[in-house]
Formats: sequence, structure tokens, C-alpha cells
Amino acid sequence: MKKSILIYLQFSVFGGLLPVCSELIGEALRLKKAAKNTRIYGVIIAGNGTFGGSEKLSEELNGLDAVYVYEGAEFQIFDALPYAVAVKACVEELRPDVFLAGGTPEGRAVAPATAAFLKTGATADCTAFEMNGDGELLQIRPAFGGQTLAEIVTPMSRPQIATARAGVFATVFGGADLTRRSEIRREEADAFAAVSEKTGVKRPIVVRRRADAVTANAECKFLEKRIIGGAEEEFSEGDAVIAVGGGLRGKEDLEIFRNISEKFGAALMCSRMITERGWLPRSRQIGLSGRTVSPRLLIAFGISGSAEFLSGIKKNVHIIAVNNNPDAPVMRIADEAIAGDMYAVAAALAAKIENGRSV
Amino acid sequence: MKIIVCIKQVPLIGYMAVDEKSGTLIRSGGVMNPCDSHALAAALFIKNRLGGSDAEITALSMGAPAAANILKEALAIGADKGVLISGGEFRGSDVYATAYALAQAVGRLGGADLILCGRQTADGDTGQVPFSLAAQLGIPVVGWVKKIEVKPDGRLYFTQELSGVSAEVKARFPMVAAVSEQAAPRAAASLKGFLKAAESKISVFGVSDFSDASAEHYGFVASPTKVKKIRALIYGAKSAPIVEPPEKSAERIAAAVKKFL
Repeated sequence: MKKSILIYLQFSVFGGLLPVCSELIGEALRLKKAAKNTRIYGVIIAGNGTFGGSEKLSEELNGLDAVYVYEGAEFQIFDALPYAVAVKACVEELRPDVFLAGGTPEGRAVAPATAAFLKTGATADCTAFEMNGDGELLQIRPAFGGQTLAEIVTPMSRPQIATARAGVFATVFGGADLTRRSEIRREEADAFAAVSEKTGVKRPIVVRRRADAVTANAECKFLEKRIIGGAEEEFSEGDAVIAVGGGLRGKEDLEIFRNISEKFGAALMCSRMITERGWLPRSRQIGLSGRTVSPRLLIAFGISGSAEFLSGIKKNVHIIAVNNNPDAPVMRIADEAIAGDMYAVAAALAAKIENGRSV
Repeated sequence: MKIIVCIKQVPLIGYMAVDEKSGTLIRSGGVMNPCDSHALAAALFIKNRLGGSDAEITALSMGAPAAANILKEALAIGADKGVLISGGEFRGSDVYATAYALAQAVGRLGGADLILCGRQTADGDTGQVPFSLAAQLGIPVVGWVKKIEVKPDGRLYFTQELSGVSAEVKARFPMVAAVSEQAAPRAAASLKGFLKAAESKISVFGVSDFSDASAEHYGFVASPTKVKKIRALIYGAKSAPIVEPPEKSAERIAAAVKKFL
């Protein structure tokens, strides 16, 4: 029997497919190799007239068999449940074995809501997938604060729904950073290239659906919504990062490290403990529930280095860790693991900078 | 106005132990999930802005009997009631099954105008339960809420963070909101709160208290997703820990900055 994968397609406010969606297409094409005869579909939920039509379909969508566009006035601004109602309609039409969404705010809302409507499972934030010939999807994600990798299956119900962490999968165009993947991954990336050559000319069929009716009288939608501006300023970490963690005793002590980072021209970032205490915004959090960074140098003060945190650092970053616990996990991955008091080292660093002999 | 705040007991970050055989978390006590304490603070903020007495806040949790501790804490912080869903039938619940049990409890409590959740938990980390709960209840849901505004006439607005934009929705009751940390700073317990909490009883709901009293609709058996395997992530050591005077460390760091910038 034919198998199929449906991908939730999202476009950036600046135009263009969101990178995580390109990654999902690349991943679906890779999965297709294991389960031949697999169809790959995309679903787009769009406001009236916001989706231009097939001429707007960039080559990023090549390789998909068909793209289903659900349009309606309701969909101008995102609203989780009406969007999920439209996705559900698409799923009921196509009966895919797998439904994948990017780990964006929208994807992470639509996936579990659609799953609930269809009484099936949804796995969040996957970092790897495998599919067998029966169309069974192995959904792999870090679990328990990232200390472990869990392999999750949805044995009884369909579709198997999952969201994917951005930046982990390679696109068919090789856009994703492959350097931080293992050797095995690199081989897989080479395999993508072959697929993309074959599928590069394939343009998806566009199927348009009016979706006003599916949500017309829905009690699950908001009646008043509006866009109130851009997201928080995109913060870029640059070449050097000073990160602080649970060893920090108080919010006021952030100043010590802010001063040092300013003097060094480094960005001040943190581990999850600090954002959870509300001391720094999430845009500055490194880790699974924060962001992935790739500076040349990362200096970690008082960060134990949970897998949660470590999964947010790309390869080829020179890491200096300062921690009073020589057994902390961060000490194992650091290039220079300083077993010492973060405050004493910071004070010595501040004194050195004050004396003007540094940098 | 009836507000239900969903809270979860989670292990302290960095203190999670996994049973490698069963692939489940060894739960030995724990704390209120940090994001959930912000959801509770958001409930208190809304209650205060609406003039206080009209609004009732129920803290709702699902977990082992020990989770009653975080409900007591919620009472000390300002919740009016604490309800715990507990029993062996609920063990092994995934997102869908958890949200199903929560939805049943919401029904048992006579519904709510507003159900507040934290953005995600520190242990499961999926951030999916609020959306599953809303879909199962068939009521609107707004996630990733970073700002809550109560107008003088009582109208309530939530600002959510989306991909590249922020969007605001006007509350439509009943509804679910999943809040981020910046939506409301954590609230602290007062001495008076602790005294009140000490005297309060936590209600416990079991399967038989729900309108759907079939045990097979809860917990592991009713969970569409199953954990097949758990693998520990092991990081190999790169360098031996360096023990040296702080001044040496400062020089080491300054040298690295010079080298890499």
C-alpha cells in the first residue's frame, strides 16, 4: 500500500518557506528511501489572497507530490485550533501515515491540537526520525532534560504526528549546517544530494481548498485578533559568549558578568536556570528549550552542563568552563575545564581588565 | 470568574534520575514546574486586576500523592483551592492521556472560564498539553503568551509570540492560555498564605470521580505514544580539570579571548 507523509508548511513574514520546513522536506525525502512508494504532501493554511498561487511556489517545494492550500478569511492571523481544524480536514482527505510540523510556535501548537482532534499521538521536538517499510515512524527526541534520547512510536493510531527541532535536519539543498552532525549523518547528507538531483525537476501539484466552512461557527476560535508588531529583536551571539548558570547567586551578580562580557565584546547568555528565575530573557538562553549557538569561544561560569544546555552548542566551539564541581558534566566537554570558584575567577578577570593589561 | 491553573511537580533540573530499564523518570519528590509558577502568578494578576473577590483560582495537578505538596504551595501563594488527580490508573500518561484526565477534572469541577498552563514542563518538555487540552475541550487556546493585559472594564488580552511576529487575542471564554515566564513574574508565598495552606485540604480525584470512569481511558493504556527505548547520552571527557589560582584562570580566559576574537 502507498504510504504518505504530510508536512505543515509555513512561510516567513519576510517571504520564503521557513528553513525548518525545508529541513522537513529534506528529511521526508530521506525517509522515502526506506519506504519507497511514499507520497509526500504539504499543507498550507493561509488567509484569503495571502498565498499567491503556484507561481509563488518556490523551488524549495520541489520533491513534494502535492501541496494542499486551505484558504479562508479566518486564517489571516494564526489561531491554533481553527488551523488544526483545517489540518484535520486535510488529514482526513489524504490519510497520511505521518504528519510533521516544524518546531515553531505555530507548529508546536497545531501538531498536538490536530493529534487531539484525531485521537492520536504527537511527539514534540524530535531530533531524528526513522521510518520502516510499513510506514512506522520512530520519533527520536531528547528526554528528561536532555540526559537521554527517547525513541517514541505511535503503534496503534494514525497519523503519527511529530514536530521537529529547527536546524537539526539537512535540507535537500544542503542549506543546513552539516558540520555538527556525526559522520553517519554526513553519509546521509550525501544520500540526500542524490535524491535531490532526481527530484529537483519535480514540481508539486497545487490543490486549493476553501476552508471558511470548516471553522465558520467554531467555538474554538478567537473572535478578535491582531498583529501587534515584530517579534523580539533577533539577538545574535557573535564570536564570543559568556554564559552564566545556576552558580549565580543573585540577579544583581549578573552585573559582574555583564561588565566582563562588555569589556571583551562578548555576548552575555545563560542556562535555563537563569531564564526560569526571570533574570535574563529566553532569547539569551542556550539549550534545548532556548537556542542553539555557534560562537568561536564560549566561557561557561557556574553552569553544570546538563544535556539540556549542551544540546544548544554546536560543534567546533572552544569551551572554557569555570565550575567549583570538577565532576559537573560541563567539565567533560570543556576544552579548558577550570575547577574553581566562578566569583573568584570573575573578580580576578575584572581586576585584570581594570588594570588595562588585558585584551 | 473561575480560573484553573494546571501545575506539575517536576524534579529539580540536574537532579533527574532515569530508570534505564523502564525508561521512566524516578520521581522522588520535586518542585513546582518553574513555568507553572508563572502561570499561577498570571492567575493572581488577573484576579487582582478584576477586583479580587469575584475570581476563584483552583490549582489542579496530576501526579503521585506527594504532588499535594506543590498544591499546598500554590495555596500558600494565593490559590483558593487545590485539586490532585491521583491513582495508579493515570501512571504512564502521555500528552493526550494527560490532557484527557485534565479535561475530565475540569468537567468535574464544573468547568472554568480560564485555564492557565505554563509554557512547558521541565521534565517532559513537550509544551503540548495546553493545546491538546483545549482541543479535547473544544475551546480556544493561545500559547506562548508573553503579555497579559486587563483593561479597566475587565476585557482581557493575551499577546503571543509567533514566528517573526507577535499577535494579540481578546479572551473568549472558556479558553486555555499557556504562558511564558515573561507574562508574569513569579509570586511568593506569604506567612498568612502558609498558615491558610496548612489548614486547607487538597481534594483528590480518582478515575471513579470522573464522568468517564473507565480505567482503560487513562494512563499508559490510553496513551497513543509509547516510549520504545531510552538511551543515555554520554559525553567523553576532553581535558582534565585544571586547578590553579584565580589569577591564572583570568589570564587563561583573557588569552583565549585574544586568540578567538
